[in-house]
Amino acid sequence: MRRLICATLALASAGALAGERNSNVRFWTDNTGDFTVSGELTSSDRDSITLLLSDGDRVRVPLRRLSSADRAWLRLEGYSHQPSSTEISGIEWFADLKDAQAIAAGSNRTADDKPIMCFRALGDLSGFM
Amino acid sequence: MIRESLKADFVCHAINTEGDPSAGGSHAHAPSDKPGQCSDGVANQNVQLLFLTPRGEIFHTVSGFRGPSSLKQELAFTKLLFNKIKTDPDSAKSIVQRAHRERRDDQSGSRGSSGRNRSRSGGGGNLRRSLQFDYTFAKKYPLLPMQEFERNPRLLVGNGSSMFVSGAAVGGRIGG
Repeated sequence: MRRLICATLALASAGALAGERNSNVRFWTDNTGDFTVSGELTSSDRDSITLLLSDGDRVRVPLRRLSSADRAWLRLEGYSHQPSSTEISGIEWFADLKDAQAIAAGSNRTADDKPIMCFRALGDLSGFM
Repeated sequence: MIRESLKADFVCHAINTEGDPSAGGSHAHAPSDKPGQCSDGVANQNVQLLFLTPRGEIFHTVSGFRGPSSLKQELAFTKLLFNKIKTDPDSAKSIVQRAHRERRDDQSGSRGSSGRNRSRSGGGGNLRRSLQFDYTFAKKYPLLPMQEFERNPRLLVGNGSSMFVSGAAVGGRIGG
């Protein structure tokens, strides 16, 4: 995704500056905060979104590669299946195990899978962070 | 270091175990309380880490509190084990059991260890007990689905809420 974002950034930026008539056209930032791209959100599912870039390419982006701000925007815009999470001390905590599972299996490549750390504790999470 | 590892290598999920039959009732603290001194392995009834595959199968557990150094070792072990599972999913259960058995042997020094890890198991009764919980769980329930665990969380650390509920607390150990 990093290479793709680099390659399309200039084109995408130009397209975005030309006018964002569609509310789903916006700048998207990755989870490192280093890369941003403009694209139209055309579809979404439990673990990814698809963006239409200004050069006509479509790119599927795993949710876990999006910034927390972008994921929050998706929730606010009514994409109700987007996972609910809380960021505490820079770590994102998912409230629902199914959401965590979807993020952990973020792509079709098993090699990209991540383990889930489930923190079971007596009390509200905020008391431990 | 730990924070960076959690951000990069894990997906984090939290569960409040209040009311859970395995959760202890002793030494409750308000979230705003200043933390007291803790040694590795204490509060195994009240704090646990479960490490799951994306399919929701438990492949490693850490019962009780862990300090930064110990937690770092646990995360390293978990990452290594998860990668092994990924590369040979058909043998995942036996991989989990073997990895925990080797780890237990290494900690106890029974494999001719130089003693490098003995300090972990020798760190006190709490830690020894927690490590035993974790080893026994992995041996008996490798890749247990989380849904099944949630139906009976006592599988890991026994009963915590009352010594009258089951015989698990006989001996006077109640709560964390």
